[in-house]
Amino acid sequence: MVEDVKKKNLFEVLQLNLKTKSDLIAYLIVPLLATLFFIEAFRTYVPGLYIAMFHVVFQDPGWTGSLMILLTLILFFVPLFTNLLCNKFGQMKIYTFSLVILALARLVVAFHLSSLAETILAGVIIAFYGVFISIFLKRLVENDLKMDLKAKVSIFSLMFIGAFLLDSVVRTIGFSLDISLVTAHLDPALWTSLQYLWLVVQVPLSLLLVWFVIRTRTILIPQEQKVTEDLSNKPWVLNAVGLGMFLFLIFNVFLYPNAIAQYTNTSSAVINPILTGAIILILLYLLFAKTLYNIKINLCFNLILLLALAAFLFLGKASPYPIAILMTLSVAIMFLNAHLLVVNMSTTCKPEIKINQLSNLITYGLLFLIIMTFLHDFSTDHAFTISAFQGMGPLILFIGGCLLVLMTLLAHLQLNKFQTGRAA
Amino acid sequence: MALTKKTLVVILLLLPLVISIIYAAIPIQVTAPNFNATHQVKFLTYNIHFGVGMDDRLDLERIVQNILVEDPDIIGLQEVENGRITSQGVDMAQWIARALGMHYYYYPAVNEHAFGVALLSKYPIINITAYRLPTTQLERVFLHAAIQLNTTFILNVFITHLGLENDNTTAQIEFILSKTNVVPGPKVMMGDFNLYNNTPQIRNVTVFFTDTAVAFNNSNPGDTFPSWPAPESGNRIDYIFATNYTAIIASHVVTDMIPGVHAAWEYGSDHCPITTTLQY
Repeated sequence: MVEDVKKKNLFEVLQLNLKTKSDLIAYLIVPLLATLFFIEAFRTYVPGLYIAMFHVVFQDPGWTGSLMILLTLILFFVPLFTNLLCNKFGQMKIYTFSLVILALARLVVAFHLSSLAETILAGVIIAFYGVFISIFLKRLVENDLKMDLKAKVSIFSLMFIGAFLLDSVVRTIGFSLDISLVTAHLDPALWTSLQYLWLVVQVPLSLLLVWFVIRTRTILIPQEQKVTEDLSNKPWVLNAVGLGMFLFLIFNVFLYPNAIAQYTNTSSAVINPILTGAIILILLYLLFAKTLYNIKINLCFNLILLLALAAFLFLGKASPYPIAILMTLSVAIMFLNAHLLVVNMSTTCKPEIKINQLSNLITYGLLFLIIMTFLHDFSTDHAFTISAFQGMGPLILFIGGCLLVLMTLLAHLQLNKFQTGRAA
Repeated sequence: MALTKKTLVVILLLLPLVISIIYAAIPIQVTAPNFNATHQVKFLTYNIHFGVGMDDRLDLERIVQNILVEDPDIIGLQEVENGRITSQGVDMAQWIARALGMHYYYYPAVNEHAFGVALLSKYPIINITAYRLPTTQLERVFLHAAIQLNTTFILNVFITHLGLENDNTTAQIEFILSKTNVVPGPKVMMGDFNLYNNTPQIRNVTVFFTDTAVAFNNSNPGDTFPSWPAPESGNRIDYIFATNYTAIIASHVVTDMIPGVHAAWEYGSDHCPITTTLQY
């Protein structure tokens, strides 16, 4: 029985098909935890990169360490070797290895290391997350879950966005700049031990991930590998640019940091809960809406996103609260776009999905993210170094937003064409 | 009536929003000291270097610990960020104020969210005016706050972080004095002036204000920069100036923040904080 998300919403499809506890753990918990670690690593890595750029550009003391951080950009190419590693050692071994590395690296970061070590380990986590999702998505697509292809991939994007919500809760409770929770009663004498409070949470989380991976790895072995769809001229670059722009916008302005309140002179105490609400909104939409793949509706959403972005960047202070709230809610549309891109990249494949297709795409996505991050940094925080870049920050963000919208809509058209092709 | 799975999922998803709203609604708990009992106020100024210590580690908890050792009543912070990527988006002034239980005001200098100064106070802040300082380089700011110590006593506090070039600091000091000199009553001006105490600019300030560190201990007012390995002799660029006080009870550079912890680990910034207690 193949359930179509056009007839049933994702929640109903999941309810019908994910009946065993093992299935739930393998398909839900593992990507949720892995993505949580990836998000935490990314928001460690990007500021580390900014600081490194400052040191290297200005030759501050410690610039050699900063140069090492810049060199960790090489780690972003690790996903490119996923296929090679899988061919040599086997897919499941590399899958398990990447997740164990991810769990251990995240655990070590929790020990409050030096900035250099922290950023390098964050780079390792990002690199192996790329390896993990390449294998995970391939296995997910090929597995016999008796589900529509899009619904299967939606499981991953649901957990991907769910991890952002989980991280948002951790940060809210901790009111923290990092994943370490703020100690309730600060006391200088206790500081040395209390700063490690987060370890109480991190140790079980890392161990759980390792345990889940080992326990559930057999579930991911495909039972059916007959994927016969053929579609030529897939615009892979669309997904890479789109995902890169999504990560750029989220990790540079709209979530880590959430600079909406700052840019519009509004209170972060008001904007932050709305941002959490926006993530919840998109999760509810993904779970319960039956119009996820309606291109007209998604076109409208994206027009709203572009309008919100333009208003936020160019008129942000004219009408602070309405614009800040509109922009915050529009972050939900960015997540919807990420979902559509993930579905597109995992489903419109010929003749079957290949690991190197996914891993190449993830690497290119990360590279687009880095290019835009450099452009944004030198037009904002370091704008005084290159005078031609001064004041270009909003424009670069807007270009990033436009590219995300354009790539998503083109990918959407591609997805619809693929769907029509399959139906015919 | 039993909850359906659908309702349960919706409730679970909405739970973070509820937590988030409750958390945002909790006001900062501030307990004002009893000024009438002692007539003393403890000030502290600290350039927090965006929360990054000499070990290159971003750690706001450590900054809070550095401040807590002295437990000051009014704090001037420099190099404070808000929503900036290098500090993971945290609103530093709010974060520190919440951790210390103090009122706060933040004013950014660069790009509307960086390099700012912040005022934290256990006493109510009743008025704030912020100025942009004249500069040919990186933008700098200057904050003027009126703080209510009791029903009749209002203290004017000024916080700043000056530039690096000689021409700029001269113009900035002139601008600052043009503002402070028209304010009557007791005043405290503190911050990172990026100037040694034998410079003409600082001598100009001391025409109108008392350098509390020198007045308290002329032979060893203390050095503030860099925090680690150790401030070089004569490297004092952070100051607490004051007028119209009765006595200086104490003044020193804070160098041992957490007894038993290695110094390089305990310093949250590249500067050392400096504190002064004044009697009114």
